Amino acid sequence: MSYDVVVVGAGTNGSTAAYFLAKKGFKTLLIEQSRVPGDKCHGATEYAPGVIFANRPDLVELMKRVLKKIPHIYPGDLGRGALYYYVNKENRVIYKTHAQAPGDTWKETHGVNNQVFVKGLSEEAVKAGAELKTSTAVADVIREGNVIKGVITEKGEEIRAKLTIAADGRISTIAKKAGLLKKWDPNRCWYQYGEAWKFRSEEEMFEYVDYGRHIFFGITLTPPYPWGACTMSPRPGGIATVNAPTSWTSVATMLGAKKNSRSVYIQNLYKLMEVKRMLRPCKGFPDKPFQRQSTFMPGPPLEKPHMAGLIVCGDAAAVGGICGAGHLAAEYVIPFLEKGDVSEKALSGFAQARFARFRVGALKSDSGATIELSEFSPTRLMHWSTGAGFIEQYKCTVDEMVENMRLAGPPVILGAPSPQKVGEFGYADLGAWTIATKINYIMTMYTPYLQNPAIFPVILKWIQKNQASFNQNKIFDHPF
Amino acid sequence: MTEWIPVPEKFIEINAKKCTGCSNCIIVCGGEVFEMKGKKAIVAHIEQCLECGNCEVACLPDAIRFRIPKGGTGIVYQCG
Repeated sequence: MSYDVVVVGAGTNGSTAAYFLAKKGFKTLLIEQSRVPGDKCHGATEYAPGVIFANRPDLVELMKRVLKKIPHIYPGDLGRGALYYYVNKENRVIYKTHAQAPGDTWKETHGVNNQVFVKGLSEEAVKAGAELKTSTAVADVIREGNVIKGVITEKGEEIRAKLTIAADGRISTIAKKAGLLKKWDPNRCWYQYGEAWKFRSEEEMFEYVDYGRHIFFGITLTPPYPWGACTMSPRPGGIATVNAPTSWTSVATMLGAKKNSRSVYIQNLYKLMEVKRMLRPCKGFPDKPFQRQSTFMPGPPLEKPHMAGLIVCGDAAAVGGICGAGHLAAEYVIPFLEKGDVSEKALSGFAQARFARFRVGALKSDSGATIELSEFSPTRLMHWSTGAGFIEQYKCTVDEMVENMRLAGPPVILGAPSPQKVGEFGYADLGAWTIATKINYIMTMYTPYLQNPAIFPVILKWIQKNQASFNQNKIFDHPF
Repeated sequence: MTEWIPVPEKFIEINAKKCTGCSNCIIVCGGEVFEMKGKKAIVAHIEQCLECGNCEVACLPDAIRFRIPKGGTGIVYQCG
């Protein structure tokens, strides 16, 4: 069998790539290991395509079409982005605040079950003309000299294609077989563990959990680091997901805990009264979750995500981004496929092109400007949405930002944002009270960086620089 | 609860010669798949595997090999 393109992995990126390639008229095969695309997807997700991909209307259109068809809720409903809780050493919530989502972006955010979204996306690819082959794991690549000519399935079937797009996830068989990936560095992979809890009905869930994300910051939530965060989000079908985001715990760091991940990551969160109250009706709470989910965000990005006849994208290349990486890969290869040139030289620009969209600041999102964060793995979560703004504001490179993340030592900020805690916050020189009144906003936009001593000073400079304008306008409510 | 379709072959393999008994796999495994037997890690509950691959990444002596299970088998996530 022979195709123009074989896309391996019908996840968000593979399905998106297949959709745009098939739509363009290329004979496209989409291969998926599981029985139904989405079976292996977890980590219930919030999609805000109009915000994240504002400069890619074709992708926004596709994603919205799928989102409209599947069950979804608006976690940003009630006009807020999230409820933030700050937890002290004794595991008690000592401070609570609402964080307003920037502008009207909350209207854009759809809370969905990821596997349903992925299934819908693969169906769109099929409708556009792609062929879908499920329950098929890929065992190897077809290599002729230095050119990849397709893939070999585990049953020994040879599938030939002019171009292979590997979107087969962080355990990428293709990247390994092609020799582009040896093993991820545990120091630069971000660890994540989460659980899903099921209520008897969606109504019951909203009765207990409320709309909106609940984000807990605390010094005991994610050991071995003294400061970390857990999020709790309602999802369609009466599912509440509890996740400890990856942002500041590498796999290597996690090893320092010396205890099983669940016991250190989530159990501490379940000790909080607020959480107990919310999840109490769920069957099995707190010991037997409806579902466990675990992953790591790979990194750093593959230096060479291509060779003749092959493009590696998404998690497989550690340049993830839901749908965005697949869209970018398709967009990049289409002109070369049209010319019939998939040589090493033709594809060599992909390594740079995958970062090309990484720009425009979160700081400007109020005015409707775009946040483009998806091409870069550690920043792909909404949680990291400040990354793009950070880069633009301070003219640092993507690499520098990642290096800062990697080097992040134990965070320096402990305790709640109160005037009594000036010393602990360490910014007395700036006028702690002024800062405290801005904490709502700062926390919304800069949470990851506030906890990163390598980056924190830069944010302080930004605060200093903008202090006058903060004082003039009254858009920030006093949090106390 | 999460569905699991039996996988016909071993998709997590531990090289006992390389295993140093450091317990890293036990620490990072969200599915509690591994146990220590003697001073070596063993795959005790493969049916609980979440297929995240953290075990391979965390195994500093490089004793663990994680592969994608055979097509159509392994974990089926029930919700997003």
